[in-house]
Amino acid sequence: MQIGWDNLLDLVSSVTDLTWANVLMIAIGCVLIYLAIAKEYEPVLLIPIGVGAILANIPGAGMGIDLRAIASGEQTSGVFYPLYKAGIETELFPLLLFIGIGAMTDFGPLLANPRMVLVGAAGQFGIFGVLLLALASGRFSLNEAASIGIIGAIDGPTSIFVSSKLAPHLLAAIAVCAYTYMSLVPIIMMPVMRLLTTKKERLIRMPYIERPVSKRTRILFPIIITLLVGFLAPQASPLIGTLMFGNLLRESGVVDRLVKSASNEIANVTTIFLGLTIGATMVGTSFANLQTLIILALGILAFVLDIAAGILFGKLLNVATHGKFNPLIGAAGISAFPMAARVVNRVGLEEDYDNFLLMHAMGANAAGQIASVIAGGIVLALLVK
Amino acid sequence: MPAFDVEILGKIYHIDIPDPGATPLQVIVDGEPFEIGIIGTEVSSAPAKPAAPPHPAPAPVALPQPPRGTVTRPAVPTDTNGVNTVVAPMPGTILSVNVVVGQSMDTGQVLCVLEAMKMKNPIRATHPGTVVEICVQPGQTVPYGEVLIRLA
Repeated sequence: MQIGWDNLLDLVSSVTDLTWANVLMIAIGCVLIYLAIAKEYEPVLLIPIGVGAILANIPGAGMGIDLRAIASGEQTSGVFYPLYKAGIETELFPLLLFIGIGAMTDFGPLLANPRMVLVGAAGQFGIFGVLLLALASGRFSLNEAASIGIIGAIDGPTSIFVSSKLAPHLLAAIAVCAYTYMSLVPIIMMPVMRLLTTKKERLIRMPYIERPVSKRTRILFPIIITLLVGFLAPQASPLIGTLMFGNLLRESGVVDRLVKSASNEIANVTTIFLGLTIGATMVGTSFANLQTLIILALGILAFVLDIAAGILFGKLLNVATHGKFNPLIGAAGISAFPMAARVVNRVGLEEDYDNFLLMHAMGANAAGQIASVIAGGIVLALLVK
Repeated sequence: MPAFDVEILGKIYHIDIPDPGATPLQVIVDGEPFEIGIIGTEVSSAPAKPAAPPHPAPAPVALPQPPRGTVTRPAVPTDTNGVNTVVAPMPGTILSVNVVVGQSMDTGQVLCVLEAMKMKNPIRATHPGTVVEICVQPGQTVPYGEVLIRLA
């Protein structure tokens, strides 16, 4: 048999099939990997997502997950398709991650300072602000607008959980947006914090208050929160239930092995699956389009609004306490735990190296973690019939 | 610095006075710092020689609180922070001690690193001085208010 030009062309067909959108997505995948390795921005997630995006855009490899094609029933196979079906469409992956997050979260600083709950609530303003804005733009349906707003939770699992229920076709853009901004927490938070506070406010001292939290309180907390949220916003139960289950494992003090599995093995394996699968949904034109750009812009707006609302609420508390509350702590009322609290501590130390805001910020941050889950549940409760 | 043991109601307390000339006088009872203002001329004019006997005054002042093991601790440790002890601003683990005894310190110099909530917090000198004593070791867990380093 003679080998002709046709056969040679077949061999390089994957190159000729390459569209500009594939090239763009492969480039974005490489940028994510670069950010992960060179800058250590959430490397645990950005490397799998970046690799997933590269693999998904190799024509003919069949590794991509085209969410529009799945929604219309055109795609029913692919290497990552079973993972998508099993872990993301069923919302299982974000929930497994939440067990790990619960096992790693110390709610002690919040229990020692329960008024921080208010700060956590204020930090969810961006969700509802952007929901209304996206709706007003006329480009998005109510369900889509709500899914975009939930980026303001700054919480990957919650964003995936809510958008896979309300607007699965936007999942890729929303998840990538949420995780990218989570990895950029310090870069986005610091300028907003400096802009909205005066030097005098940043210098407000907040000494650590020693208030021991009993073991009984720590154990009862996850159980009570699960029941309370379960009755108030049942749609949030899967998220809050898994988060609090992980936390109960931690605080029980008798299942060290399970705590280790939840916070290491299960969280790590889930992260690899989740990252690769989300990355693989970034296929060519179904991701690289104007809509994704708008979602990215609205997402960062939601984030900034969260921080701004938190800080303004912090200023209010400062007035209410006659100058004893450092408004920087308001910025920690978001879900990115514990990065947000660390950033607050760092900005405080920059002004006064002897003013440690860490424990207060951790309390606000833990409250933000719970509040964002509840906000997700409220959005779902309002929209899912 | 003068140091002596005092027996009160059958219990023995170890007392250190880092700088007998200081006002307010700082007295460390079993590792816990207290500030004492001394009223009366006889004692305040005594910094000449730190002979132990003329100095019984500190002990009664320190007594009202049981010195150890209680949670209701007043804000004393943070107040003395500016004077010559450096205390833990929050509970945590000492990661490293970056100074040695006898070393002179500038304001802002890192004395040790305290890890709290998985975050490294540099503990810095709030005023210039010389390291007199290092009270902690790397790896040690410290409660809030624990004396880390004494400066003079």
